[in-house]
Amino acid sequence: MYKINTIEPLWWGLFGAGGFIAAFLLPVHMLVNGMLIPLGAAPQEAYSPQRLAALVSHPVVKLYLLALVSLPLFHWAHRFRYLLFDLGIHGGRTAIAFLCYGAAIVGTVVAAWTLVRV
Amino acid sequence: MATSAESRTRAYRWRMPVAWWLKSTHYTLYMVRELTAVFGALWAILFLAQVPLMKADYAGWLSQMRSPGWVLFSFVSLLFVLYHVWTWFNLMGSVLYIRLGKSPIPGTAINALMFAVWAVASIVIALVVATPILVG
Repeated sequence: MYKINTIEPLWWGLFGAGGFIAAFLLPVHMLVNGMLIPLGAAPQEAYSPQRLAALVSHPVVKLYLLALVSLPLFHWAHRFRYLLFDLGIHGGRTAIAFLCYGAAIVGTVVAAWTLVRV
Repeated sequence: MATSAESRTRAYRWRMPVAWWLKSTHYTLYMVRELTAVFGALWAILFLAQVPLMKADYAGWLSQMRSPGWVLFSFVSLLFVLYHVWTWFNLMGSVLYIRLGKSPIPGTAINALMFAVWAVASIVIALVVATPILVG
């Protein structure tokens, strides 16, 4: 139990970094990639096959996308862990912590693997 | 006589009622704030799943991102994440201590600065992603 809590500053640091990424970057992507482009409100040249392929192949874009996905996962893990406590789930605190942070770590590895292979 | 640790410590165990967070608007908004992270993470994962298709299966990507489910989920997620933005940047004035010369910058100014930087960053990202300005 105390092992996962002694590195609490690490989890909290990742939570904070994720909070910034989620606040600064996610809304505009939800608006543009989730609404404007799907609804045809953006010029088609912006998402032509050539431009998209060039963008997602670029190492800087890959790093950007890794941060965009990974850090909000750690932000989620920390908040969700304590959300469960707040809801009155008292048993399995260690298991919950492992599952939450573990899911964020697995998600980061999957994201990195996915982006490397693009 | 029982000697297990459980019975030796006879401390009163107080438990919160399960629905404590529905008792006051402040509590409910606190839980909504905590919940925003679920939408942010889920949206990011679903977006990541689209990235390989953009290059390998363009037609498949087009139909996936044009599905009403994706647009609706993005809209709902945007509402939740905007609440995260509001609470997160309004906290910054209390969390960050920045001194300019001898006097500290007031918290409200730090909050305002955060929102301003956020607005500029969002416009720049929107221009890069939604227009062919960069990588034409």
